[in-house]
Amino acid sequence: MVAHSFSLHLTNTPRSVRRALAEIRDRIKASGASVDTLARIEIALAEVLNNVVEHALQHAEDGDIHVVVTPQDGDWHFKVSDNGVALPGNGLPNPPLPKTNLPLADLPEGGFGWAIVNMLAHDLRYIRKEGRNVLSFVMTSH
Amino acid sequence: MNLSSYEVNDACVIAVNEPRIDAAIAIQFKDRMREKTEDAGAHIVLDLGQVDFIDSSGLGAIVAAMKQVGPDRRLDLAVLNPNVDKVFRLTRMDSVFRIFDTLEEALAQ
Repeated sequence: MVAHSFSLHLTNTPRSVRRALAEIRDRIKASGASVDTLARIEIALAEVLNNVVEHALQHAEDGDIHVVVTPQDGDWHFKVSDNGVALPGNGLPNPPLPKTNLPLADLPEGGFGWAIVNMLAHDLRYIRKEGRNVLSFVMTSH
Repeated sequence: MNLSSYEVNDACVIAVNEPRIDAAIAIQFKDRMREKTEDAGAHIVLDLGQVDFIDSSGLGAIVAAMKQVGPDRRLDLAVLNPNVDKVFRLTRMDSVFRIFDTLEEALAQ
């Protein structure tokens, strides 16, 4: 099946993220992507979109997130833009995974998001353009 | 946020009757787990068999639930579907929990 580029808009709520992930997963699945590819895409994209909702568009009343998905040579190219505040330092965060060899009370309950994105996504790029954050990355199909 | 719980021998099984534990329901999950585990015994098994997907918010909520259970009791995990298992392995949280392929194996411990 020939896969086509598609895009969608969502608002800055967790429910909206959930709906967008379901739609994107269904459309990519319909093109014949493997279960593993679908899993990696959904996990990485969920973290990207949650970051936008929880940070860039926190408290925003007119939050707009635009996701463009483009298949290319068997891989999937993503461009996620939003009208929220810029990433701190105008750069991509690259935090290490939170430590797990800790006493129960000190175990991390967050801070995994960017580490997960960095592990799964390729060619991660970020620019600030015309008042929007634009994050692009590639999810390979193998 | 639908959780159900029942006793098997001396263990308390909590089943998550949801397809996802994500940012949309992570806080509710944590609160409902507190209610469910408050009066439970020393061995609690969280049955994730119906859960197809978790994000890092959901993972954080499961960690929070384990903290609520405290060091004197145990919260084990059973039946992780492939996507859920992947998130635990990526974040190395698979080293923090006791994870069982089936509910029976979790209860045999």
